[in-house]
Amino acid sequence: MSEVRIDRLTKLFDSGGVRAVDDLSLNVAEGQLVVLLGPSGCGKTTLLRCVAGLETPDSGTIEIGGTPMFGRGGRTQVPTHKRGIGMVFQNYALWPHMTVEQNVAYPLRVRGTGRQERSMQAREALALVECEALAARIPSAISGGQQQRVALARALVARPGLLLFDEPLSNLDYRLRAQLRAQLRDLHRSIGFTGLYVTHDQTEAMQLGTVVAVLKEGRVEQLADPASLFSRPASAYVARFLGIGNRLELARDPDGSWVVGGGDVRIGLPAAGELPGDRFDLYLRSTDVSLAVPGSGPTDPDVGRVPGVVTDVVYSGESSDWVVQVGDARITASARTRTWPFGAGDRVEAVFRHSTALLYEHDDAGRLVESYGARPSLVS
Amino acid sequence: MTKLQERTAKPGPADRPTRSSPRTAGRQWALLALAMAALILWPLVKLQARVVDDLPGALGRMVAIPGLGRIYLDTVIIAAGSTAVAVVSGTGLAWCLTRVPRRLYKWMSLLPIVPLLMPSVASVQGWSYLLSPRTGIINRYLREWGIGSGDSGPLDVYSMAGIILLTGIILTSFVFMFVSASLRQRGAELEAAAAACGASPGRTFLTVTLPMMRPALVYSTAIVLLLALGQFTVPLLLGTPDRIDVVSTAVYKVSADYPVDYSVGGALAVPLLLVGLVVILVQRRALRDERRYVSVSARSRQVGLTTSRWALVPIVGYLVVAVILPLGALVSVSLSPFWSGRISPSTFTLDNWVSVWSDRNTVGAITTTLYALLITLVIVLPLSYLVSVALLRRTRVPGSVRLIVDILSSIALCMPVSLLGFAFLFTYSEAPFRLYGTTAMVVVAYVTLTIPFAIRPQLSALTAIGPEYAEASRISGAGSLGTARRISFPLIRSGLGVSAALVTIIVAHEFTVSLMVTSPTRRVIGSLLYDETINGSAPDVAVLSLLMLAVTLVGIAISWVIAGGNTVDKI
Repeated sequence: MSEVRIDRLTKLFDSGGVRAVDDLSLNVAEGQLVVLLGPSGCGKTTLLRCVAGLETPDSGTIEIGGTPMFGRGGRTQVPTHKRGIGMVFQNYALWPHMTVEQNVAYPLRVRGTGRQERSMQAREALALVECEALAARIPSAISGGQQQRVALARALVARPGLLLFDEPLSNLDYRLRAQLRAQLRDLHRSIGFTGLYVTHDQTEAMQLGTVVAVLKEGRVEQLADPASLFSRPASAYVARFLGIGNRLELARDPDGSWVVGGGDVRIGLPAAGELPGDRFDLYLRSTDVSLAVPGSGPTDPDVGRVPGVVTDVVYSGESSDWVVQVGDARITASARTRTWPFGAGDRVEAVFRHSTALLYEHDDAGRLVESYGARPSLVS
Repeated sequence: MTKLQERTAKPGPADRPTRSSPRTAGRQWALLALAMAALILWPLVKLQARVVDDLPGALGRMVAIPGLGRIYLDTVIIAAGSTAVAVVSGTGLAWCLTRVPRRLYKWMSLLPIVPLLMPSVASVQGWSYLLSPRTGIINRYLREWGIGSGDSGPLDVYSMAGIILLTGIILTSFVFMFVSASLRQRGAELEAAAAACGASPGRTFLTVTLPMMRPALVYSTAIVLLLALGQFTVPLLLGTPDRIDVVSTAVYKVSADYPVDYSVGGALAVPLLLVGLVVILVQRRALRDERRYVSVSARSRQVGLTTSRWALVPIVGYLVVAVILPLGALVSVSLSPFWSGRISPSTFTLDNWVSVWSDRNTVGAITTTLYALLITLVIVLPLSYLVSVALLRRTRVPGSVRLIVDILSSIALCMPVSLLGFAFLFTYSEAPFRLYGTTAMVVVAYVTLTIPFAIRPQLSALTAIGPEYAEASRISGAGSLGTARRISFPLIRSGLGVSAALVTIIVAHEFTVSLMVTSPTRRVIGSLLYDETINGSAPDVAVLSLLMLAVTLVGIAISWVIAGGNTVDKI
């Protein structure tokens, strides 16, 4: 019933100068919570607003529950209030002149539900988000976290076919965010709503999404479940956005080795002969990098090692980050505090396993080189 | 695939016609643009077309007006002089306000706006009782103290200086409002930041304060200059003895002759019309790059500034000059059996106040004014709400409609009121309208005059609440009307109240247009008051001036109810 089909949707801004959503197709199956992930300006909020009917796309179609909501070049256009959706806004948008209960009961009121009935349902929805005690308060008298939960109750109360979330947690501090993430996850499991969730926070995406769509310049860069997304980001852009920040630029040397970052650091790559080019970017998760005294450590063919100098150790409580200068690149190794005895100025070797590393083509698209990494069997 | 096939192929609910189909929405908004154009543009175009039709003759008769050059020169002198007075004193008051002790701030910020409640006719009358050369109260006291001699002077309000100073005083409130708002929005944090970077107070003022104030200063100077160029009340009431005329009074005198020579009146005002158009163009250019309506959080505070009680002196002084002195003069004249230039409480009587109610003319004028005010409010508030919605960038109103409505409302703001009045007289007294002598004519004129002022508060309120509240309501399943009724109206209630207050003030104080569009049989308070200054007694004029103020205050009270008292705090 509440399946969303978005087909070849395009939305232009500034009279065509900006393609906010660019020929984008995406399906949301019933009961799925699809997270739209991307930096600001990637078109994720515009896409969500198109689905809500708050923006008019320029072309393409949108169907919700099998009913066309937008299509035929704009001749089919169901207004927002007839789309049967619920939405949680970034700033919650609780109406300041109504009490919490009136806010939550509003979707029922405009649907003509009787006073008694809607009060009961509103309180049920408030109970679902553990805010029933706030019913008589006005929105400005409750905390940000509570406002967010009330906004969620308002979105849920009329049992809409589709729930839309526009960065709902980004105005909260990180402790509350974690708490509400868990609550949303529980709610999704218990009531099983279909949803589209916009965020720029990868943790939110990983924890909440049944499927995550990473958006880039109005297009879907990668669509995958959280686990495969994180283990094999399809492009350097996705890897960077997921916080995989260690990048080594590699160029093939005539002698068959690889030069790191144009300097005098060299490295061997397994199965280099099969690689489809001469320039690549190697991405390493900081937790996959370990440090060793130069010349020590295992000599497994799966292990890559690059020499460098520790420039800083960033202490952050339980864990710490060792920042290592490798050629002209900087890479970070993260581990529990006091894992390694190195300090600033020490010469070290940064050690990683090729099977955990990610190799991308060195161009604008930055596609993942599938033949590298993840499949240790190929390493000879 | 043809349309027919498509329709039969997909009989979904979306094929039913929906209300927000973009094409019909565009048509409805185009209707709004058309209504605005009919109200604002049509009379002006019609009048100027008449001027062009009759061009050689009109120019000839215009040049024949005695002292034509003097009229334009005096207009410029009065405009420049009173603008200078208003900008200097308004900016000074705004600066003083930032130095006022914190606990008095709220009250002191209101005082310089109080003069806006005072009808300018009333303050001119008040000051003429104080400073007329023979019977002015102040002049009498000065002569008794040995300053000046004979039975006249030393001060004369019926002079160029008197006109410039009084116009300047009346316009000071406008400059204060703009500059003070810009100072308040920004708070003192930016200045504190400059100080933290090592800038001395002088340097901070030059490099931070002044540049930040510049947009407000430029904007308010332009507005005040326009108002001063079109100034009518002060020159009309104070300029007659010395035969000082400005363009507005000259246009009025043309309109008072019968038959009215419309082409000469229209031609006289052409220079003012051009200046108004230039101001619109410059303003649009200047605002193009800026974000027009920035809503700044109220968190910025005036912190760390040294305050002083001395800052109260100019603020209170302005209130005394602009309100208390003329009001005191009006009250004592209205209570005196006749006006001699001496306040003698022993002879005070309420006779003038009682006799006013037995006079059919006065009662008729008050009734007409209140009735016209009511109808104007009923028409203007919904219309200006629609226009504000159309002007909001985020709505789906077609861009061309938005541009047209925007330009039309700035035209209505930037045209001299006397020219508008003259154009109304020309348009609506002829066929097919023939409204001269009816309340309808007064209402049409008032609606056109007040629309641009009613738009702004609602537009700022709509801008400040942001789009999300309305969007959340649509998501919840409410249509446009339901959303407007249950969400937008309650949230911008204070903005609606401010709009109503502004409309009330303008209508109650209206003098220029009222003089031109009312007939001797259907007068409003303003036009009756002018008749009385010519034919009636001073105490009667004082009573009428005070009644004008009373109507204003009643209207403000009604607006307060519309605004819902404490809704402001709620939001």
